[in-house]
Amino acid sequence: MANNIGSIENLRVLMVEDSNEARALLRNMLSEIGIHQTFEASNGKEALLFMDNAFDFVDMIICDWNMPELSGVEFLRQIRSVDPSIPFLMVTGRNDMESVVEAKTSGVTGYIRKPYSAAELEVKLRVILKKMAA
Amino acid sequence: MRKINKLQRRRLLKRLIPVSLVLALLMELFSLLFFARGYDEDATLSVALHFPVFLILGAAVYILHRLYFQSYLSTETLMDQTIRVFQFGYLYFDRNGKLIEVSEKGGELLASVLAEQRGQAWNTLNEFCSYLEPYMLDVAEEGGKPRELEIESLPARLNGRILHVDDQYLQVVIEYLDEEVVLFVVDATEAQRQKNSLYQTQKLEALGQLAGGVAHDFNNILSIIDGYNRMIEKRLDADDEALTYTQRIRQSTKRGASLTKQLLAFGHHKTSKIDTIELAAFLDEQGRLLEALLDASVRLIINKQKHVYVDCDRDALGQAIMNVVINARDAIPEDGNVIINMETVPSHRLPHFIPKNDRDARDFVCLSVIDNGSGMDAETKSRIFDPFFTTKKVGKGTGLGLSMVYGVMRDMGGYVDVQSTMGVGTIIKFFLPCSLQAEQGKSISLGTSGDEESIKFNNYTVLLAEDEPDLLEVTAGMLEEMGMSVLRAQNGNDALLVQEEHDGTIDFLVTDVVMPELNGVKLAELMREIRPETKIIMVSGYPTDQTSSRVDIPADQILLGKPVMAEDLARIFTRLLGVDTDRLDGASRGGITQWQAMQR
Repeated sequence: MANNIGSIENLRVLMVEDSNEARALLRNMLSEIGIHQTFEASNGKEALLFMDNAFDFVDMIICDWNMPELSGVEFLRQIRSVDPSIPFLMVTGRNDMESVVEAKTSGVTGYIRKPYSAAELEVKLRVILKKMAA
Repeated sequence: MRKINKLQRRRLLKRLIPVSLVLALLMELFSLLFFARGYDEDATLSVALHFPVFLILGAAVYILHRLYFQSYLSTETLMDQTIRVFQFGYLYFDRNGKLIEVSEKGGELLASVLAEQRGQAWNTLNEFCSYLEPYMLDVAEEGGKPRELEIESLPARLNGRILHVDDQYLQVVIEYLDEEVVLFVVDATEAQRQKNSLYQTQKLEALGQLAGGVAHDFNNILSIIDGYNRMIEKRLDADDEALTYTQRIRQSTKRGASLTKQLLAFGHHKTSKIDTIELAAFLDEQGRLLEALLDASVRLIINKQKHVYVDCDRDALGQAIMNVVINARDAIPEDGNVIINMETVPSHRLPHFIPKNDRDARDFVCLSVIDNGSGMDAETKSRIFDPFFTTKKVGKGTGLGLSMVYGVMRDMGGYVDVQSTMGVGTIIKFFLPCSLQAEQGKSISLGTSGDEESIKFNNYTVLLAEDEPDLLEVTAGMLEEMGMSVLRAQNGNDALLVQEEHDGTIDFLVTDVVMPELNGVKLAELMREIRPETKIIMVSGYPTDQTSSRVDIPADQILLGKPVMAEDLARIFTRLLGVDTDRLDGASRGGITQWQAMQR
């Protein structure tokens, strides 16, 4: 991960999301926020493969929590074993405390609940960046 | 002396002759041993003379013994004690299935139930027989067994069975004795109620899980629809006709989202936003919203007490009250009243469905919503918390309103009770645990000097974003002086982080316009999205001439020029909170006019 991201526009993001529509939407939202350097994976396995080869090209991971093949929790666990500090934003469709607590204990940097707007996403990204800088 | 019953009389008579004979023989022996020497040849005669006397004496002794010693001295036998303690009644049958005896309690249990059911006086014994008759006949017909075996097959049919009569549950337990069959009737109403309530809870839990799952997928779909819709909106010109369509899509997705919110609130999905609220002030606030929902023919009356605090998710409680009031409104056919009543309830007066631990541990406040509408029948009443259960017309109700209420109450540690009478009305009672940190409620009060500068905004929270450290401290000090709790942020991004980590509500955002990383305008834009309840005040070094500032400030934004004065801030706060300063202290109207001039 690049140490000095500076402004939010320079952020390089890996999106992990199984739904094509949701992924395209996320890409659009990111570009609305001003983030254009994005990578995509449609499930955890694909994402792991990508990260194996391109760890240095990603500053942040945005990952859906409920995915087939490799769940968000499992993917996060494997990522954390390699890089304990890469910012990881979890996206969840359930807005209950249980899944949030589960995510927090598994070491996500932040979480966002569906449905979310571009503004909410931007806030989350900025908060994460601020946290990482601190 | 206690009256003996049939069974006891039977036993007494059965044993009377053998026991009397034995006693008489004993007395005879006794007299022979001690007095025989006095009688010589007449011994046989004397025996013949004495024996009937002894026999009568023996019988008398036995009867007296039974009646006085056994029955009188211990009027309460072990059996009676057991019956009293465990609240059951018994019925004796003989082997032929004929009823011999019914205990007082057994009769009572059945009497109360059946009398209520039939609305007439009746004979306990006969009634119970006729009540049991169908079961006994069933046995006879099914098995085609001889009559005397009926009672033997009775246990298989009735043993352990719970008979539901009206509102009461009776459990039947059957025991075999030597010559009789005894049938115990236990009042299992309480146990059964608990079981039913457990079942209800489990059912609702399961439905909650299901609802959570559905909500998850539904949220995914909604977010996609909403996202693309917003994108279309952005690409359309401001005067494009299609904008009205996208707005409708937006409204519909919003409705969809509020539906999932209700679903999740009903499921076991706790919300994370917990505030301590003063209930009276909260009800005032809600009252205004609720009145808008009611027709002119329905009056809303709110009785409240001050200084009662509860911990809850403000929006959720508001929604819960609203759902109940809407139901009340819909139940009122023409004109009527909806009364919201608030009272603190001492622990000994709390209803018993609240577990004792809870009753002892917390004070509760009872919030009742009372209407004089059409009321509900028992069937409806038992299902009102089920998700998707509705009595409203298709499209009028989702059937989620009261399920959500149930979920909110459970999450708050509160309880909800429903009382309803057809044609009279309905009372829905919320029992809310009082907050342990009562003193934290927000209030606005006037300081000693009586001017605007001295108004105190106790426990209001303000987020202050200012990149100049000294100015940040000065302004924060000023706000703290006004009684507010201040969250400090050194720039826009920092402000976002601070608000993210703050659990409670943020009443105001006071932000500098020009800041590095994220400026005030962008910060305000984001804050409006994520915390729509926060009122925003911008502070700028270029207050009057917008062109000289480097950012575009929206026309309706409240903008305050530097240097910031405490009285200006106080005036804006009171105005934004909708507080009539005249009622506080009769402060000059001029101040407000000045402020309006600043609001561009």
